[in-house]
Amino acid sequence: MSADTQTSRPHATGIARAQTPLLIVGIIGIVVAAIGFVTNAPEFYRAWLPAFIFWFFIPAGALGVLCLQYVTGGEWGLLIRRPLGAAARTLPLFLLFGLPIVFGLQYVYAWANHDIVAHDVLLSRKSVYLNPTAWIIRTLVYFALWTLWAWRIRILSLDFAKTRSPYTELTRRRWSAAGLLMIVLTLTTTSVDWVMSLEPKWYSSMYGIAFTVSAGLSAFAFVTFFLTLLADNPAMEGVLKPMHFRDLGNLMLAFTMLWAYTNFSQFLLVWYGNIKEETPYYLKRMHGVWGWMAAALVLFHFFLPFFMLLMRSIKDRPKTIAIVTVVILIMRFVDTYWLIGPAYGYEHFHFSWITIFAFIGIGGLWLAAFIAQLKGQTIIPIHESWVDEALREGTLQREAVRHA
Amino acid sequence: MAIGKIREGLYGVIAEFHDPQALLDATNAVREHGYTSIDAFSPFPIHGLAEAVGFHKSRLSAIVLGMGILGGLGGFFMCWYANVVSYPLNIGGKPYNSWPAWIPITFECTILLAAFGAVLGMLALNGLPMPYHPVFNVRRFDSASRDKFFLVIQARDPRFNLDEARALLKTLGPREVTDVPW
Repeated sequence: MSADTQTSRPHATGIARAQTPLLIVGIIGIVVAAIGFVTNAPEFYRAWLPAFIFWFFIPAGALGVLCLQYVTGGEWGLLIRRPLGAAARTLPLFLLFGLPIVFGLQYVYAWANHDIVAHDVLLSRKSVYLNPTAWIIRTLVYFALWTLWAWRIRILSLDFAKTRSPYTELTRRRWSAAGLLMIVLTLTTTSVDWVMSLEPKWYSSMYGIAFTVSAGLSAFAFVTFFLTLLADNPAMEGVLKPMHFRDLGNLMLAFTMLWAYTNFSQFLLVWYGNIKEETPYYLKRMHGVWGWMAAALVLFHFFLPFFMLLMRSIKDRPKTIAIVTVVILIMRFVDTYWLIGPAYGYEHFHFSWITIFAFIGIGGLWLAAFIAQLKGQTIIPIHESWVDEALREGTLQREAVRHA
Repeated sequence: MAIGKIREGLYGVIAEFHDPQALLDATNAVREHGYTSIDAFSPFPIHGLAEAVGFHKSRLSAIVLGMGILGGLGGFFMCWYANVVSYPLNIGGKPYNSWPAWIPITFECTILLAAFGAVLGMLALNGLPMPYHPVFNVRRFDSASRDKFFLVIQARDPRFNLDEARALLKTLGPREVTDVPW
């Protein structure tokens, strides 16, 4: 695994160069957003949440997709295993990013506001589950589980690279299978605690799976976009192939359809039931600018990526699939804002400038952390047995090329 | 009795190889000599063989898309016709044209007809079911489903000349070269 093989190919992808600029951008974003905190603290807390949730989707989904890859195997995960693992290991950082919300809990969630709960029978009954202490404990448990799984899989992988013991691989597969269950269950409860409870009197049993699928789609779109950035990188020559983009495109297509399926099913049930406790959720979100956002979600979160990802000529080429991933990521933010924004009860559409800087701040810091985790790792998991097979068949070239 | 005999004459020339790499190399060599009507047989998929044989994109995707669109429109029309034109019922005070309720059926019909298009279209484009194929006349062809690899140059190839084809295949290191009658 020595990096000093005698070829003219570069041994590093050079991603580390972006780390410091991203860190600086992130810090600037946080500092500017902090001005919002000084001038209007309640607004700051509410504006922080959508940016936090948007970025959170990516590492949360990455942990799920990583577990999926370790359970099923397959060459679609060849080039994304390392980025997915790196993203998943940044999850503890979100405990820090989420801290402002903990301090402003009463401004964000109605159930955390004593004055509201005291005068509302339903909310005071619900406070057995929806109360600040329980919410904080649950959130800490989620982070503990995610961190445990992300690092356990990492440690098992390192162990496997050293010993090549099939038992280690089996243990990793078992952790991953359990991890899939864990991530779906914890993301379901996370969706209730962090987002759905913004409107504490409304509930939908479809919400959790829609949230989980959104995380998976965010992760796929992010890692695919990351790979398209490396498409012309000489270090990736002979490794990154149209086939990989096609596989990832197909998986993104499946997740795009799942996203539409779960969200439409939820809408259909509320629309068909036509009960006054449920319909206000959608009436709010179909009114004015929120309504235009809903239409944009139908067109650009589903139909556009759906038809683009049906075409091989788009999936196979890095430049064209990059467009699809950017469309999906932008619409992921629109979707997140459309879920959260209307819940705050403003009369009309409302978007705070603080959200923009929270988005830049969390994003910059997170991307820097992602690169820090990815740095120094080989671009493909070269010790895996099925990679050996691909090398023998000549579909892959092996060299110790690293992300650095 | 020649029950299986459907045509007189020669279908092509077949060469038998011992390993997948030999088949792949031979296929590439034959293509380089300008033959286009060729076919290769292997017990398992070989990377790059489809490209070497000159496999091209089929019309299957267009068939599947067409059938999918037909299914979607058909499913939606079925719901619309039943609920709005043929037998309108007042359900929960909703308008007759309650399209959101029809989306699941529209979706299912799209998938159903697209899947039919994919399976039946694949069979039709492959000319299946095909109980008889001239290569079955070669006794050793049985082993194409076990451990041997075959390459056929068909007689319908515009460049086809029996002696040249035989000679070319013999230069490629085959175990045996045989004529394939119809």
